[in-house]
Amino acid sequence: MGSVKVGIVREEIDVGAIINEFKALGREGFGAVVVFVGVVKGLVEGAAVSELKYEAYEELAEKILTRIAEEEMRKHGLGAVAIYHRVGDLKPGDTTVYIVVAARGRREGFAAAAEILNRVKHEAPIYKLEVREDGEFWVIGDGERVPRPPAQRGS
Amino acid sequence: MRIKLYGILKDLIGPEVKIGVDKPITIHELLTLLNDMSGGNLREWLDKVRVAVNGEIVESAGAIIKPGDEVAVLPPSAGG
Repeated sequence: MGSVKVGIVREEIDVGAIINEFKALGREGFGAVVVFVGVVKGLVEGAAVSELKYEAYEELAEKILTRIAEEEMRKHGLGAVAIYHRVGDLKPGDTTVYIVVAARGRREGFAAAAEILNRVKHEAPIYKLEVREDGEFWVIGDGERVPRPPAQRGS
Repeated sequence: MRIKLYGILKDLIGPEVKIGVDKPITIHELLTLLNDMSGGNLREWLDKVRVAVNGEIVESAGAIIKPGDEVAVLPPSAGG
């Protein structure tokens, strides 16, 4: 089994350091390092976003990220997988999620990264509140938005 | 029994609630109790939430939770 690195983190991740580590696997026949970095959008449904507040059930989230990384590594024959997700109050332009894979080639690399991202979105207990000029919205599942109950706004 | 809640459920019920039960209950019974405590606010979420017991997701609504278990009720995930 290759290298698996996961974490729920508060600060930015040094993606360059992970790429440097994973590209060394080229010597073992892993010819592609694919990187996905999610970024907070400043405009959603025509409304300006000032903040995305992320929270997670951290112990369980890290366990699930590890499971996703190990399963996708086996499925796609990867040499290494890194999955990091940030929590806390993030501003437009801030990074949110990092997925880096070392694969035999580009097809396996892109497929694995896309599948890992999809699983992280649906399986990891991570939640976000979108603070916009037109209100606060819980993002539920894949993009559905539910207005925050009035008593809680601004807290 | 202490129950942790996340995301929108935290707004509807609170970040943590204590339920006065001293015998094992099913996940279905737990969710019914929480819905009653929230004045029915949880009704539309009952078939969407996941429940974690002692750090693992438990899929079956008939699964048993014992007093002292670490329980969390989770809305649909929204990572990314």
